[in-house]
Amino acid sequence: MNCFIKKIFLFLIPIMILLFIFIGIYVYKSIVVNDNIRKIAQNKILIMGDSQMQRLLPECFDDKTFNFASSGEHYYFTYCKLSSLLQINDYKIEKIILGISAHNFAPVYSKLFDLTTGEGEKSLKSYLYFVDLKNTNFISSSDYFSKVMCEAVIKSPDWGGVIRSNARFPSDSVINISLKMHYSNSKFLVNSFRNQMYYLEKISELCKSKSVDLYLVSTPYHSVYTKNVSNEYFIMLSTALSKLKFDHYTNFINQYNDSVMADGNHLNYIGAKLISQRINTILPND
Amino acid sequence: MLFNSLSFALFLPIVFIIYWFATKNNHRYQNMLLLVSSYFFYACWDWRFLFLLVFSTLLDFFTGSKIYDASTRRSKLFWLWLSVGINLGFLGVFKYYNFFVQSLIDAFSNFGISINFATLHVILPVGISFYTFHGLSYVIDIYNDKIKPERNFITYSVFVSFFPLLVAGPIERATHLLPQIIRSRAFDYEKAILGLRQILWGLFKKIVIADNCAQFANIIFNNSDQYSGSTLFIGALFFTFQIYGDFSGYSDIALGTAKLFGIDLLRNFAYPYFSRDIAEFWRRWHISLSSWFRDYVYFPLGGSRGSIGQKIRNTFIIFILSGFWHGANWTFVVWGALNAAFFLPLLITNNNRSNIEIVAVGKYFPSVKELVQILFTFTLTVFAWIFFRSENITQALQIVTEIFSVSFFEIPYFQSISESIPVIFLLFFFILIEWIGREQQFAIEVFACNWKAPFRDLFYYLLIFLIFWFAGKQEEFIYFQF
Repeated sequence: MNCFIKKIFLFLIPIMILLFIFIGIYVYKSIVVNDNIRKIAQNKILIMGDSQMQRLLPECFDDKTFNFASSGEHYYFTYCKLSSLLQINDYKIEKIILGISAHNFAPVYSKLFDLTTGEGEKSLKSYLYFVDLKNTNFISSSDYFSKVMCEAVIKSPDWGGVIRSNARFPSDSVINISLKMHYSNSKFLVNSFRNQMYYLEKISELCKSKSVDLYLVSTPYHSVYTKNVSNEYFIMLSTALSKLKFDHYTNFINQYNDSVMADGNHLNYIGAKLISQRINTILPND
Repeated sequence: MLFNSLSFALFLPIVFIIYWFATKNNHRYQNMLLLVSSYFFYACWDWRFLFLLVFSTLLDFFTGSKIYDASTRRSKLFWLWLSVGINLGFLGVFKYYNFFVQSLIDAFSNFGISINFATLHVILPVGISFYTFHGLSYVIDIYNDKIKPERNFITYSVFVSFFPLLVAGPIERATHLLPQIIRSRAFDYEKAILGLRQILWGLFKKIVIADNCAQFANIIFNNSDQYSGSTLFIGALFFTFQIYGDFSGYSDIALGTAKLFGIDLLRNFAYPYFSRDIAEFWRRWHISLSSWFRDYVYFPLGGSRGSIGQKIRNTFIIFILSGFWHGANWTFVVWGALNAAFFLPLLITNNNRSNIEIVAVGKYFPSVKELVQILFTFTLTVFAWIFFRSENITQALQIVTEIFSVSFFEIPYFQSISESIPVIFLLFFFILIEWIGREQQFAIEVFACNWKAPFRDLFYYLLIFLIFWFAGKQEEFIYFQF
C-alpha cells in the first residue's frame, strides 16, 4: 500500500509542478493588474460598458477621465472591474458613465456569461484577473482545470479603452452582421435579461454605497439597426431603467442622423466627439 | 456526482484511503464504508430517490429470503412474482407510464377519439433500470436454486448499491459479486495499478472521444433537416463513437474504481466495433445487459431451440425488450427491432456463433475478408444508431431518406466543421490503441507496460494532457438517463 501511494505521489509530481507554475503566473499577473487598477482609480470619471462606450473620447471631458469600457462586456464583468476599483483605499472616482441600451439585453450577452460557449470562454480570457474567484457564479470548480483557464491565466486581461473609427454610412450588410450577432439564438434570451439586470442592480448599489454618481447613457443606433431590433428589447431597456437607481439617464437613440455612425451600433469619430461633448455638458461641475 | 467531475476526484481518494487505512482489512467495516459512501454518492444526485433505492433493496432482500425459506413451489412463486411485480411496477411508473399514456392518447386521436389521462410529472430516478435488474437477477437466481439468499443486509445492500456500478452498471449478478463482498479483501498492488490505468483510459474515452464527438453529433442531429445525406452520415458516425466512448468509458471507470477496492466487476464491452457480424457485436456490446436478457428472458422462452417461428419470436422479443429498456420512446423499440432483423439471418443459418474469438488474434492486421466483415457490421450498427439518437421516428426516417438520396455524394458541411478535424485525428489515435489492445480486457491493460519507466509515464502523461486539452463541455453520461 505504501509503495502504491509513493508511486502515485511520484507520478503526480510533474503535474503538481505545472500546477504551481500556473499559480505563480496567476499571482504575478494579479499583482501587475492590481497596480494598473490602482492607477485607473485615480481618475475622476470612468466610462464603462461595452464596445458602444469604447467610442467615447476621454479628452472631451473637463475632469480626468478614463475609458475602461471593453468590447462585448457583460455587466457582471463591469461589476467586477468596478468592485476592484472601488476597493482601492484612495480611489478618486466620482462619476461612472455606464452604457445601457436595447442590445445589452440581447441573447449574445447570455452567451458571454456562459462558460460552455465560445463567447463565454472569450470572456474568461478577457476578465479572469478582474473576477473575484472566491465569489463567482461564472466559473465552476471544474473550470479551474480546463484548457481555457490555462489560456486565461497566460493571456493579459482586456483593458478595453478608446476605439476610433472614421467609417461612415455603413452598408446594410455591415449592419446585418451586428444584428445577427446580437439577436440570433433567442433561446438565451430569458437568461440574458435576468443576468444583465441582476448585475446592473449590483453596479447601482455599489455606486450608491461608495458615493459614486452613476450616469446611464444610451448611445445612438443607425436607423436601419433601430428598425430591425424587436420592440421587446426596448421594453426591457425601459423595465431596467424603471428598476435601477441612478443619477442621470441620457437617451441618444434617434437623436442624431446616420452620419455619426460607423456601423449599426457604433459611433464614428465625429459622432463620438459630438456625444462625448454632450455628455460632458450634462455632468455637473464640482 | 459525475465520474468526470472534480467532486468525484475528491470523493474517490477519500473513500479509498479510509477503506484501506481505517478499516484494517476487516471486510465488515469495509462493507459498511462502501455502503455509506455509495448512499452518499447516490444522494448527491437526488437524496429523495435514496428512499426508493433502500425500499428496492429491502424488498429483494426480504423476498429473496422468503423464496428460499418457502416450503412449496407455489409460495416460492408467489414471493418471486411479488418481487418482480413491485420492481417492474416501479420501473413502469417512473420510466414508462407517461410513454404508454401518450401512446394511448395518440392512438385514439388517430381515430378521432379524444381521451384524457393524467401524465406524471416525475423525473426518472438515476440508475433505476440498473439496480432494479440487480435485484431481479438476485431473486430469480434464488428461485432457480442457483444461489442461497444473503442473510446480512449490509452485504446485500453493498451488492445492490456499490457506487461504481450504481447508476449505469455493469448489471451485476449475485453469483459473481456477492462472493467478493462476503470475503475479506486485502490491498492488491497490481490490481490497484490496473484499476488506475483502466480509469485513465475510461476518462480518455469519455472526455476526449465521447464529449468531443457529442458536439458535432448534436449540431448535426439537432438541425438534421438542414443537412445533406453525407453530413448526416458523418453525424451518425460521430454519434457511433460518442455512444461507445461514453458508455464503455463509463464502464472502464466503474471497473477501474471497483478494482481499487479489490472488487472485480463484470466486463461490459469487448471492442464491439471490431465485430465481424451482428451476433458478435451483441456479445461484445453492453455484455452485462445482453447476458441478463439472455439468461432471464431468452433462455426461459426457449432460446434458439424450437421451430423457426419460435426462434424469430424469441429473437424479436429479446431485442425489442432490450431497446425498450433503454427508454420510453418508439425510436428505441425500432432500434431493437432493427438489430433483431440484422441478427435473424445469422440465427436461422446457424452462423450466430461463428465469430467467437476476437478478430485477427496474434496478428497486426485483419484479412481482407475480416476487414470487409467488420466494415459491413459497423455500417449496420451506424444505421441502427440513427434511430437510437433521433428524437422521434419521423426524424430518423428523414435522416435515413436523406442518406439514401443523391445528397449522400455532396461534400459534407456543418457548423464548426473545421473544429472537427482534430477530433477526427483523435478518433484515429483511439481506434489504433483499441486495435492494438483488442486482446486485453481494456485497450491499455498491457499497452506501454513493457516500456522503460520514463517512456511509459510519458504515455500516461500524454493521455492526461489529451484529456485536459481536449476536454469539451462536461456532458452527462448517456446511460445515466436509462
